[in-house]
Amino acid sequence: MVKRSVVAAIVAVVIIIAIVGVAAWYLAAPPTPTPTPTPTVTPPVKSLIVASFANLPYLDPHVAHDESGRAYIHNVYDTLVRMEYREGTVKIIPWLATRWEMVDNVTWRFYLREGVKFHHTNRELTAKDVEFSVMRMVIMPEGMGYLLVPWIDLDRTKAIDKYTIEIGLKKPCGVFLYLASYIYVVDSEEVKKNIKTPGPYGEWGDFGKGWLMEGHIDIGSGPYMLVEYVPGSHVMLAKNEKWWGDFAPRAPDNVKIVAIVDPATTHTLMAKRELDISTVWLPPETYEALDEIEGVDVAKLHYYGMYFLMMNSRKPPLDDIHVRKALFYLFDYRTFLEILPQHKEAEGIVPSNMIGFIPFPEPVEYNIDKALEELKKSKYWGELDKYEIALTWRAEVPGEDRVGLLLASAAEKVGLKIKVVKLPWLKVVEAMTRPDTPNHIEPMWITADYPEAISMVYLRWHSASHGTVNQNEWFDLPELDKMIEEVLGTIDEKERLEKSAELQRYIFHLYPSIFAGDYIGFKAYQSKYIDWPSAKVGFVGVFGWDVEYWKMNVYPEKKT
Amino acid sequence: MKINLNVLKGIFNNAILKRIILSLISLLGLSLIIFTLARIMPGDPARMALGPRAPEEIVQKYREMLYLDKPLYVQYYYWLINLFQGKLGPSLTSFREVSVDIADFLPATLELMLFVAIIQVTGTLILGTISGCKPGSAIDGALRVFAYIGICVPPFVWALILQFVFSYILGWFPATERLSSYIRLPRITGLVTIDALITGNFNAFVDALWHLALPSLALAVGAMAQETRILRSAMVENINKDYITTFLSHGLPIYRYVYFKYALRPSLCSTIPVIGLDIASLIANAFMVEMIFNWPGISKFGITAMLRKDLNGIVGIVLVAGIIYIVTNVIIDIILTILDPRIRRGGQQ
Repeated sequence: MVKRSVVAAIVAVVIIIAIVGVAAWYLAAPPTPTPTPTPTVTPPVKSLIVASFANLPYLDPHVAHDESGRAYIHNVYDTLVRMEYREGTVKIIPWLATRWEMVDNVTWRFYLREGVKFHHTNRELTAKDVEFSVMRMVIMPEGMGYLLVPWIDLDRTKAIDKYTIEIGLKKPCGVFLYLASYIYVVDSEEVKKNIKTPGPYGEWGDFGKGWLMEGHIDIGSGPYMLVEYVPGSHVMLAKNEKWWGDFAPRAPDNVKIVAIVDPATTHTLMAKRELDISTVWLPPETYEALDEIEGVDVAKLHYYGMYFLMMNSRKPPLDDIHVRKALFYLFDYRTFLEILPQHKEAEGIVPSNMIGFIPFPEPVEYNIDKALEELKKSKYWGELDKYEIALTWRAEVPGEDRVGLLLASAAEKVGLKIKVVKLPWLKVVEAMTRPDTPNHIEPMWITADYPEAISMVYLRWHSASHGTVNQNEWFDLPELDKMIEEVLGTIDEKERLEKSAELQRYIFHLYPSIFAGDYIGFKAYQSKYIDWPSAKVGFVGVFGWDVEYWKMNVYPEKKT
Repeated sequence: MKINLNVLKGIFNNAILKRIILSLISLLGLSLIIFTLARIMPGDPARMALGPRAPEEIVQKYREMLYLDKPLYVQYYYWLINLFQGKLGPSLTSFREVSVDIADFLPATLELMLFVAIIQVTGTLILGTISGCKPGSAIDGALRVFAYIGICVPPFVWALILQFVFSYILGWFPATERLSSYIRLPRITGLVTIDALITGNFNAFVDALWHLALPSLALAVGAMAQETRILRSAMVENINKDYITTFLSHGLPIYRYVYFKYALRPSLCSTIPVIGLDIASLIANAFMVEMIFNWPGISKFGITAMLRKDLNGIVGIVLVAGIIYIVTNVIIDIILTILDPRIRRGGQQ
């Protein structure tokens, strides 16, 4: 009689061998799909995997305002017109609207493309959908609708016929066509069916936002459509074969947008060819490491962005223009580029790639003697030691403290005391809501929404942005607002650009900020098997619009 | 092991009922504390949600929608009313109901916790027992070194190491996510392994296990190291007791009876609570590992909610964590009651 223990031991050994054997088989040859009761999809031939920094990208085109949301809606939704960088400048090109005309100073008429179909309902897109979309953006300006709110007159915005939409403005707007490139057109009937009441928008309830953010379907007509949304993990898009536009010959069939923010994970995935394009939010040293992977390059993307050290003009001693001008001369612009290499030297008060940009009216340089000269002209000369200037840096941005320390060390040489303060982002946002903030200088990256210089000027210095993270200067200058609005309201482009140049000179002489550098976004991508036009030309454009999947070519046969 | 029905009656009569009532009171207190803390944190949640460029009037509408313009006690009152209707309020991170977010994210973390628990319990039992049975031996020394390393190295470092070695260099395991891209599985419970078994998709089941391996191991190693040490110490203490000496002198089989039955069982009484609380703490502590492996769990979502000052999201997630801790404690108590007859006898009048 065999002992029970021996039998048990034999059984245990057999089970262990079986488990190890099965595991070894699977490890050696990863499972391939076999017929199962649940339908499975055979691996796509041309697919693209793109990293996003956001766990939950905003899926509603009229809510998305950050980079990941914009990248999603740019590919899934069509707009009335589009901005495109061509031949060294930005042109407005036909999109849903094939042509347009200015009926009068405050009325625009757009003639729509026929036969455009929405993704999931297959219903034709008409002027009624455009009218509804404009209304939704103006009444619910949670995303880019804030651009339209000051201008659109909803009472005079209407569908003239099935393919003609007339948009009324409250006042003349010289940059309206740029703003029209943000009118994302949605399937109005689907939205109306899925509105939940009560909501913050009166009779319109939540405007269907809750339903749309659940990610079951999209309501767009663009080159790609939403097929799967796993919150916190990924968004899967598929090519819209019915799209009216032209795809690149080898445009990806599927695009997967994954929430990957960790640099180490990004490196691992790119080395394994399981990630094709990284985010723009990695530390500089990570891009260096990614660049060393064979077949991976780092694209330089020139957004309309800049790094400012914004000075609060209401807080002593920065309420004295000479102190602000002195700080101009105390910032070591060259060393800044070494600390944060994703920048190039600033040449004006707006990024140099913007239409209507003018260079600094006077040289801006690191010069201690000039700084001292300016300080001697200020009313605080002789009492500078009584004032401590607080300069913040965000806890979530490693390396930013060195920017503050750079300025602080130079300021010390001329008797100015700068205290570099670390704050979490939430506290920075809260502090910037009021002029009596404890912080004198707030460093911030700001990106503009369209290519003309006036877009940055409006964002940064119009009183409408008081209390937001777009400005910390708190100028109380009605004439500044008036000048900005006058430029925006000038229809003739040449005249508008001339006024814009004058305005930039005026603002420069207020010495509002230290203009540290023009922002350049870096993204690592698999150059071996992806042909990405934006990477080749050094993209110039709006933040988040650099990844246009329909223009990319993917060569999976080169993926090794 | 025979379980006396009276034992079960004793457990499920007053003790559990009392625990449930006390737990509900604890949860209410927890909700009040976290509700208040979330609201006194700096930052404007409405502005954070809508972005820096949304017009002030829209931001103000959101503040009114969240009752942020009302006193704190009024806000809490409205929140309680919603809670009794089964709602946790809208999330400012996802713009969906918080309960929908929790339903989406919680299963992923629960699945991870389940497999971490399996690894932790199995590993602790095996390694702690071996180490305890042979104190001072070479194997005990090796396990001690492993324990110290495991305790000192945080889980996210284990995650990076495992990902680097087993995914990048060796290519044995996937680096991220819960399933391979080409596998589509209907969502039934949200636990991918269970859903695969329910739908009879063995392929997906194995694929899910394959994806679970590295994140589970990363989370299990550190805690397992600590628990191994605790079990080892308890075993050594119990093995040196007189009753064990008596059993050995009577010639009972040393491992099958003396160590594994009479020494291990009382040794587990000090280890089980630690294991239970370590597993329960994963609901909050797993976020770095979830980020590294792009695991769509509630821990990762919780951090996003906190960074964006998503008030309802924060309270909802903390409540879920509280419930998990409470349930875990109840389970620990039940297990201890089964293991330790002194607790049962003390509980019976």
